[in-house]
Amino acid sequence: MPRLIISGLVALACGLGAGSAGADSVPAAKLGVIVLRVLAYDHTLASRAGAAVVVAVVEGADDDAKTCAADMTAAITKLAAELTVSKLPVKVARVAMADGKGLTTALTRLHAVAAYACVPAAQAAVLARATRAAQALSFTVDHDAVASLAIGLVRAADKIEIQVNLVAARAEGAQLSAPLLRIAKVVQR
Amino acid sequence: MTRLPAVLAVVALLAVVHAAAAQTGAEAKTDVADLDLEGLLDLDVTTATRIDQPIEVAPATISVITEDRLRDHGWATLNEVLWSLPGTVRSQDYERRLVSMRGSFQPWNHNRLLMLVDGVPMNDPETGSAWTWEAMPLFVARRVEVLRGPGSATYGGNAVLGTVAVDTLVPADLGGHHVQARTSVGTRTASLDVVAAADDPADGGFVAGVHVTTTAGDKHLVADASGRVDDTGQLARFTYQDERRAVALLLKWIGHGRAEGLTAMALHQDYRSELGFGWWDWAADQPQHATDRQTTLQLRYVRDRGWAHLRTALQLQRRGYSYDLRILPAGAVDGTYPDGVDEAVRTSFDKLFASSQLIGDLPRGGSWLVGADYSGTLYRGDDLHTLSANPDDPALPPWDGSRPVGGLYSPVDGLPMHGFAGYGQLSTGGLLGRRVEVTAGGRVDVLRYRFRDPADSVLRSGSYQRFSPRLALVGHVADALTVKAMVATAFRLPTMVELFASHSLTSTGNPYDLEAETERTYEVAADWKVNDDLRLRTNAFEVVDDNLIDYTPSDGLLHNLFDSRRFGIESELSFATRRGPVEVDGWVSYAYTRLIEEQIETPELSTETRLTWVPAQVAKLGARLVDGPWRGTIEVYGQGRTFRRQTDLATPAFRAARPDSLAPWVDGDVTVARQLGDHLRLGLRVTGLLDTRAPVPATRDVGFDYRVEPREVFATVAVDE
Repeated sequence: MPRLIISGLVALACGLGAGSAGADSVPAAKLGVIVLRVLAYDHTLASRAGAAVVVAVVEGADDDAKTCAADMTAAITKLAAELTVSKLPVKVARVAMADGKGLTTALTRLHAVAAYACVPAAQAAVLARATRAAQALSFTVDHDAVASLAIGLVRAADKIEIQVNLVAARAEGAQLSAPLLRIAKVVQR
Repeated sequence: MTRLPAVLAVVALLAVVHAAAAQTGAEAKTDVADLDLEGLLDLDVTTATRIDQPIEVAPATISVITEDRLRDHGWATLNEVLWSLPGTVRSQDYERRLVSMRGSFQPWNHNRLLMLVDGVPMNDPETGSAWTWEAMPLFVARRVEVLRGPGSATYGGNAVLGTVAVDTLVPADLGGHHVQARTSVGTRTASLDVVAAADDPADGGFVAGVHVTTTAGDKHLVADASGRVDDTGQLARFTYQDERRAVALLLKWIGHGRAEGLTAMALHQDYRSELGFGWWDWAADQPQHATDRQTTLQLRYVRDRGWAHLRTALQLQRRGYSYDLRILPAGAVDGTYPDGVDEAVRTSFDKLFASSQLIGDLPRGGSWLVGADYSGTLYRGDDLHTLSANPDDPALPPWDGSRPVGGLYSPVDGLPMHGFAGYGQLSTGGLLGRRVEVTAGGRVDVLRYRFRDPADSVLRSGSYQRFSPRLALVGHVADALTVKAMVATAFRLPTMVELFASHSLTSTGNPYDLEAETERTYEVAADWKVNDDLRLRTNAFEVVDDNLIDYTPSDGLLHNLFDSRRFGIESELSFATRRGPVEVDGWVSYAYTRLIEEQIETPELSTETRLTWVPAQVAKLGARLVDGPWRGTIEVYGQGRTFRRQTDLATPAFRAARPDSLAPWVDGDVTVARQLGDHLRLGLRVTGLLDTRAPVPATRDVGFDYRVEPREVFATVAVDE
């Protein structure tokens, strides 16, 4: 038995290939389901979505951004197998961060109703121009980026706080319902 | 004996797998509108199953204490955190302040509680103790999860009454690049915490912290166990010595980029205390103290792939201590020891722990988990061990001065003790229309060692093997109501001190016939979200303890002495509300425990029909108010009458010096703080507000009780830069 257990320990330690995630961040699956749940509070979702709720994961250039995008894409893909949003199926697509025009084109082609930002806060303003033009509700986990983007999912001590930039949300074509705003912290009206 | 539960567990696992498979693909998709957003926003707990789960569906009774609550309430030790939870009781044994729970008094070793630091067990390798007093710095904690009830199916030994999981700070808790300092000066106690963090995308995140605290303790006059009398013929009273100080250092690195998933942590703890009346409960006539040290190096690695998540950990603990004990004062025992009796020890132990586990997802939110642990503990002799009486002669004849004696653990000097474990767990996720979730699991633990028999010095071997199954069912009765039914076993293996302590007046090991302590727990629980502001959590349990190890009073030898069966309920109403700018949150709890039956394997301790050494009833209240820059907290602790065993009342003089049972009492703490600008917070904290100095039972036939420390007023300054 002890030999077996030691063998198991070594095998487990060596057994997996590359690919990693921080132990202390909020799991992508958790953020993903919150993104979908928040979309259900948008009165304009049905008119913006068409046949499916498409979430675009916008991927920056650095390693952290690529890891973030890969994790979120995988999480929403898995959630899409089990969940619907306002009875509509869920789809997810990865989109490379580009200039405002290029990104707008990509989001519009996808009919994306939401854009999850895996980009540095410094690029939030560029992303915001694209999401407003493409009428895609933007999400970020970066508190600083909520100045430009619509929805912040910011980790507080014991929970995830939803921060809403109402100006940005309206500009992105969303009409968020009162029950969401009661739960959320509205940072810009 | 272990086959039946093993068979039952395998059958349960197979049934659960079958049910999970049958559900796959059979149900329509769920619309997210059916999910409770506020529930989703709660961060998950991991202690129940090693897997992230919302607290209401975790198959256990769990409390989560977050960093902001830790700081706002001004708690300085894990004890204070634990004493605020439903059903826990303030206890003390010798110099250690402890946490008893579920009707079970926790003695000095305090090893029926498992402590995890960043998910890795960190109980003392010598005695199995969970250091919940000043020795464990609370400043390192970003979050504390406390599981009340058995955890051996997940974590192995020591997780009998509960598991305390401390997660240490990460740079994000300090806003990336930041320094926080907090100092607190009280009428007896002073402390300083400084924590700094930096986060760099290339180099990784760093946290460094230092903690220093010192207290004059609770010096007071009280009779001891010697029976000495004063000039009036009354029991003489002596000063109870209680000074303590602790120093801790934390260094942590979190890898980014190519090192993503890698975390390294070093924690050094140094705790020095006077020893009250010491090991034999005789007031000392010379200074005596103990210094406990522990240095822990921990490396963790997390890798996630599509099909599984890998969690590995490697930890090295070096535990050392130096004790200078004044066992008996000069002239003790009618002059048998004209110079008194001293024992001095300088020794250390090393423990290596390695673990690896794989976690995978199943449909409908289910999961599977397999893992293996190894631990090796090594003692390599003492740097110093001297005595002024012969510990190897039952008559304990005095020596002329102190002499070197054999090693404290000479039977295992240079002989490592190896622990191995393998475990598995399956959670089905939602069954029957997502109304029911089942979690089943089990763990096999093996301890193997060789030792030189103290009787004939022949090398012998010994081993223990335990199988710990669990089965839990969580039902979503209504949108706001979850019920749980759980059954599990837990165990604690005899520790190094219980097996091999030698040549000492503090303990004598029993390597021959000690059995593992075991516990079976049957528990039902309900989690009802009454409305947006109120949540009621209630659980009822029956606990069956077998073979609890303790010292036989007359000869001080260790045996499996106690069996008991207890029933209890724990209930907590928590609230959180916001009215304009004012936020209020808190809790009210009540717990009741009843002894159903007990058996004691020695006539020297009386068998009782009601709970002894801990109160049957305990109630608590806590609240926090935030209004702009102002913050205030209050905690109230009250407990019912505490009874002693009849054998604790045997000596008439001692019985005259303390009450036969301890009266109910209530006391509390308050904190008020004001934020000044972005960087400065000033506060005032009062502990022991009512100054009850209530007695805490000494669980022996002696002339004293311990007591709750008197009122203390603290001024605090916190700087956040």
